[in-house]
Amino acid sequence: MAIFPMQYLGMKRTAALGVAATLLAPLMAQADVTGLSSDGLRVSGYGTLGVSSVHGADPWRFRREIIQPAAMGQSAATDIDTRLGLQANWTLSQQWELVGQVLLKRRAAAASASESIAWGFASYTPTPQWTLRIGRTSPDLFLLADYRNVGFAYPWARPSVEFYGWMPISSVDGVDVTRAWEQGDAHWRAKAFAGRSRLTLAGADGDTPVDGKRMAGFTLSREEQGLTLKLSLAHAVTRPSDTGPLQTFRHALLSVTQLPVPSVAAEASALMALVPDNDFVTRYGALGASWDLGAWQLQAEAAKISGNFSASRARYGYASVAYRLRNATLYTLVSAVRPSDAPTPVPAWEATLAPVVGPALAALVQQLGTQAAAQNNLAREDQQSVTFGTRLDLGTSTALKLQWDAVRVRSNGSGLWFGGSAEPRKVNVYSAVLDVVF
Amino acid sequence: MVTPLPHLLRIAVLVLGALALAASAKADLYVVVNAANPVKALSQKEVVDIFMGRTRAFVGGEFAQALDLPRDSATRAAFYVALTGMSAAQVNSYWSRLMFSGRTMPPQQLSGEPAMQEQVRRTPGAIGYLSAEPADKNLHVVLVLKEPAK
Repeated sequence: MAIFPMQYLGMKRTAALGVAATLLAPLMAQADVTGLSSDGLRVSGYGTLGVSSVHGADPWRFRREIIQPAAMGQSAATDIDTRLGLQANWTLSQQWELVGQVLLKRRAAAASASESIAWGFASYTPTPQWTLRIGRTSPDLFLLADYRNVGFAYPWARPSVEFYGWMPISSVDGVDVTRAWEQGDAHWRAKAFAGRSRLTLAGADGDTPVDGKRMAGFTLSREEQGLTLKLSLAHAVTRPSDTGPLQTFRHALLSVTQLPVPSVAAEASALMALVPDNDFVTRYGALGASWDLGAWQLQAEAAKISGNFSASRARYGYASVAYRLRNATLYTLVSAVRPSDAPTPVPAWEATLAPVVGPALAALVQQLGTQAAAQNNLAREDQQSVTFGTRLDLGTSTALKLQWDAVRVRSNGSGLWFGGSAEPRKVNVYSAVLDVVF
Repeated sequence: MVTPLPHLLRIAVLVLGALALAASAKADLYVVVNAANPVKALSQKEVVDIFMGRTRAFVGGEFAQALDLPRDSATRAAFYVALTGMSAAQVNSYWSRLMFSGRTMPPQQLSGEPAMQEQVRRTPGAIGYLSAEPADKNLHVVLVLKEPAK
């Protein structure tokens, strides 16, 4: 549920647009986009207009990523996929370039305007093989984390929600280095990045601003005759910007571990172990493959996330087959996410504790235990989906997609949804999406 | 009265001339670089790699600056079909991946072929394409693409 009134949201969007206009205005004054030599400014952009109809999810809300708040409406939600990206590339010389991109889409109410700045960096290419970028860049993890907001770039209405929906980090403030080389017919690219990030997760109980303190990663890709293989590895250290509620919770559980009832104390200890006491550490590893074979386009990725946060330990994967027939591309996509840890059973403490601490306190402690288990289980992502759709290219810069997603969420697996709950569900999502580039 | 031979010959010449004209009306595309560029010829794969952003350099290691015609130009569409087999929409989709992930910018778009010629003439590392063989000595043709039969 949004904490802030709608006008505030409007103000944030206007603020983001204002930032973009202010940044671009002096550059635009010098712009002469056609027929320039190497010192030139290019302004470009991409946009998506989408409408989705979700059946069977009520009161859960469908979203494509966990930084997205609840969609407004179930029968015709337009804010799930609708977004606008504006990019400015300023080539200062053959080796220096400045790039900025602003991405406007519906974010958590508590998200700051600066989260709309997708990136702003300086790029230095001393030789054609080496590129160094400093500023806010994209982590370029997995096959399409970098361009998952650019609908025109891929055949589906949106990238696999199971595979990409959980990943909140889309920009890193820091530095990255790329080395590209050829080996026979193959093109290799190795990239390493490090930096920090700030993002806001949207949740039914309130939004959670997160501080990505330290992030680093490495990707290696090889492309030859239409077959691309990519390895992605990353390490992230994050913590909620406000650790108060988490600490209070942990202290309460800690006091339960000190009760003179061994079974209860042990279970409370186990509940405490689900969540780290300080920093959240996550490690990502993924392998992706994409193959363009004439009219066929095949793509698949598999990832494993591990770390000290129980609900995020999971395996992810998807596979897609697309066939191009003149201006239409027919596609099917299957994807799934499976948690590595089993759901946490709700402890039964009340009866055991009542004779020891009295019924009132026992009831309170029971509430604490139930909540701890429920919180962990609500964050688990355990679902799979099968998607069918078609992309129609209207002209050279516009594409229309019509898609049907049959989603099956398993019990204690609704972490990707807004306002999820423990029971399993079967949901159908029908979407019509229009993508443009300009 | 027998048809005079010169008259027949004239008709034959006219027919042959018309056929020759029809053959050359099927336009080839000429990939050109600045005459000062040490690169004298490129394979189709090398041109694909440059125009599709897979490499930023010529084989010798010098920076390559690829140039393009306007997005909706028929010559541009023909160029990419001849070069990669991809339609203009597919090429735009491919480039949107690289462009909007901050990786590489697509070839710089110029207003037309005269601007293309001018730019290649001026810039040592430029590489562009034209629908007719250039007469300009400052330009050097590195590859000829046959326009695919319609």
